Amino acid sequence: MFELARLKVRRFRGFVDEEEFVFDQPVVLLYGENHRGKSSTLNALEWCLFGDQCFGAKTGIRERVDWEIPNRYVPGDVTVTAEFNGPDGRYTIRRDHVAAGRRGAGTVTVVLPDETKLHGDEAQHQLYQLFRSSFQEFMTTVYQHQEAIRSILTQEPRQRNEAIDRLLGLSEYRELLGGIDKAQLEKTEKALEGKFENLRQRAEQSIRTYNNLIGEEKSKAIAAGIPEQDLNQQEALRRAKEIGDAVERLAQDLGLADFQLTIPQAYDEIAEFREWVKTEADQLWAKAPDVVKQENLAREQQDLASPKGNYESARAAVTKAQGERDELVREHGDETALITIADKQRGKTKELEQRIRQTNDRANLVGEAIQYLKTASLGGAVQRCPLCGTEVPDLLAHLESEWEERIKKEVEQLDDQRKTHKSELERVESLTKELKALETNLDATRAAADQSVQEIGAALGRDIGKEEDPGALVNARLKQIASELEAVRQAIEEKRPRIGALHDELAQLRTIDEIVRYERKRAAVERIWETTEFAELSALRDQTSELVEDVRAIRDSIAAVSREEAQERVAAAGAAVDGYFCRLANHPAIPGLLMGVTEDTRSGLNSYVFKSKDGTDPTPILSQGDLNCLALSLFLGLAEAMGETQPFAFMMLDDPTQSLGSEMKLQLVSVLEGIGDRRRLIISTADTEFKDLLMANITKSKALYNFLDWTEQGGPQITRPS
Amino acid sequence: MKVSTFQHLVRIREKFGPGLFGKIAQKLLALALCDTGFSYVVERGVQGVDVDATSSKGDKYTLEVKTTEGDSIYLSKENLDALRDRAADGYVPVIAALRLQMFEDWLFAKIPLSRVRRGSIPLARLRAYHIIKLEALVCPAFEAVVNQHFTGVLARGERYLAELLAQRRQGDT
Repeated sequence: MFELARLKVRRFRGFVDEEEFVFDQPVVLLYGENHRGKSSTLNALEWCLFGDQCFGAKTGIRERVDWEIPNRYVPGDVTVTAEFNGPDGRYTIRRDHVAAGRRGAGTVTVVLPDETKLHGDEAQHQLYQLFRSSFQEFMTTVYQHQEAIRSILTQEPRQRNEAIDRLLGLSEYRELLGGIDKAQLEKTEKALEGKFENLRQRAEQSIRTYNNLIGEEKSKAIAAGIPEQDLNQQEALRRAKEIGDAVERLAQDLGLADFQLTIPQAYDEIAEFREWVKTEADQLWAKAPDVVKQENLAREQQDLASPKGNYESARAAVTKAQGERDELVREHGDETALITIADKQRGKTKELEQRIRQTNDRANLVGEAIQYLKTASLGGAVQRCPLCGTEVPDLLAHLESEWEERIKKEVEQLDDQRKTHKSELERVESLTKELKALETNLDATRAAADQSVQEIGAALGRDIGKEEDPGALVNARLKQIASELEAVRQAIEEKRPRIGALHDELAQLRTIDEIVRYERKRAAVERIWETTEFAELSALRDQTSELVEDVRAIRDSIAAVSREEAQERVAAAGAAVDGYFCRLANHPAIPGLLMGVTEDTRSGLNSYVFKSKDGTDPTPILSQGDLNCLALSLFLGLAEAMGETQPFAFMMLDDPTQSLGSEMKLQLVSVLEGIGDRRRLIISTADTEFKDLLMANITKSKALYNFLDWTEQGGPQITRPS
Repeated sequence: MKVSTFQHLVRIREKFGPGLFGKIAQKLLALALCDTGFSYVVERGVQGVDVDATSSKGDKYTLEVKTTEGDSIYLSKENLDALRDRAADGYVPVIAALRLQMFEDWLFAKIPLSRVRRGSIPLARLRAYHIIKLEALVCPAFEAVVNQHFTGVLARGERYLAELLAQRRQGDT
């Protein structure tokens, strides 16, 4: 067996400068507060021996998933050196890790007792040769991890089972099973099945849709008089040929000798044929002479309608304008008469204006004479007025007044006469203007009428003589067109049923074609399962099922092996575990502990069952301290079961008293006293009571390393009191 | 399975219900096995494994017949015990499952009984163990049997098929 003699640690995790530990006593205590580097010291030995095996998810230790090897605060190459005293001398194992990279296996060097130095794979192989121990075995029988106890201190059965698996060294199986589960192959298989199901449902939906469409079309066909037995490809082809023949006959009858047609020979040609016939039949009809003639006559009829209407409107306008002009002349005379009247009125007006002027001149003259007489002072006595014959006191003043009155009257009479003549003159001038306007309008309507005659001539395609009646000519032509149209219409009507029948035949062919087409589509969907692609997909589905089932079998096998190993270990260590548990827990209600392994039916993983020796289930009454005792008992029991086959002559316990009461701690010290007879002990603890109990009760000689402090730049501060 | 055959089966199930449909499907399968060349076919309507079939070459199959519309079948403890019993007699235990859905067909699965527990088993699992040769042989025969006897089954149900199977047995003897 190999005894640990010395351990040197540099730059490993919290360590900075090289620290050396000498294990020269049967019991070595690493004591100090948390986060001082105690666990890292034990971890350093583990890393030195097992490299990258002791970190990562495969260890089953959560804290080891993102474990960092190099010191994160003071970078530098990591070196851990362990010296062992073996059966034939000293073995030195050194593991180095260069500064680059935060994690890694490092490189190992082994120096044999004969000073032979081995490196790399050779050294690794030598390590295995020497110890024949895996990391899992080391973890379960040599190094009691504090994480293992922490994990078991849970009331959640699944986590506790996982923790016990780890204590039994079965984490790798659990990791494998977890990895398989994570692959979620069954989910993938289900997704594939889902796609299949989706395909099937879509096909089913398509078939249902086609069935509905076929049903609808068949009802239409039967309602249209097509016998149900005719709703097939052969009948479609037969009918297509009939339609083709009918079209050809029609073309001949319509006088279209150059018409050519291709009768479909295969069903797939029918759709194109249908469309072709539909278009061609319409064009054929459009090219028929009667139809062309009908169109031409209709166009001519339309072309004549407009000039005819224009002509009639123009004629009506001329008549109206003529009537209006004639009526004015009749009432007021023609232009000459109106001019004569106007001239007369104008002369009279001028004459009256002249007379008014003369009267005014005379009035002025008399007025001036009266004024003169006034200045000569001829008045004074009463005199008789020569004008009115009355006796007046002031004759001149009287004459002035009388004269003014007389002249005023005379002028007013003259002005009234002048106004009358002036008004008459204006009326005559207005009538003259009106007459001119009516004559202008008459000329315009006559010009329009001439234009419409020309239009009629153009529409009739001939010149119209002065003696001819354009309206009668148009009416005669329109009558002739109507007669010709009627004749053509009758001729067309005789042929139209044939086109109608052709269209009916085409519609029936379309219905049959639609039904056949839907049936073919439905058949294509129904044949999906017969296709190569479907077969390939099915094969793929089979292969997936086989793969999933194989993986399931592998998973079951791994779970079975894990269970068998668990059962073996529990069987081997059961008595020891029971013994340790009874001593450590010293539980008054649990006379003894029986441990069994079963399968968790849901997950297939190991499930651990504990029973008290009196047949009761102890788990509901297990305290945290009891669970800690259970974890320690499992570790110590397994270590004991390994016995002499275990290569290491020492045991490392990391923080073993996490939830233990004082009595349990004392019991643990007592147990360790016994183990100390067989193995050297390295115990890490922050528990002062436990340290004191160890120092006081362990009879073997002891060494104590005090972990006083830790700083980022200085690492742990460690002393070893002498 | 052709869609027309599937539609026949759907009509049978619609008429007789899922329970009787299972028994009818079992008898139709037994007839199909007879037509496929299995010289000795025993169909049990009541207890034990549903169908035993021995080929002229001496291949002996014992079939637990299940029909479903879903994606799994249910195997009871009795079903498994019966299969184990027949397996002890030298028969190859087979689970014959028919999923009554379009594009589905009989699935004959030679799943190791050690790998089966009572309860629901997804058809996808059975597919990993299916006997392709047996399916290729029996499925077309099953279609033929369904199409041949559809009218009779629809009219008289399980009894019609029981009489047919009895006639076959008499013919064998």
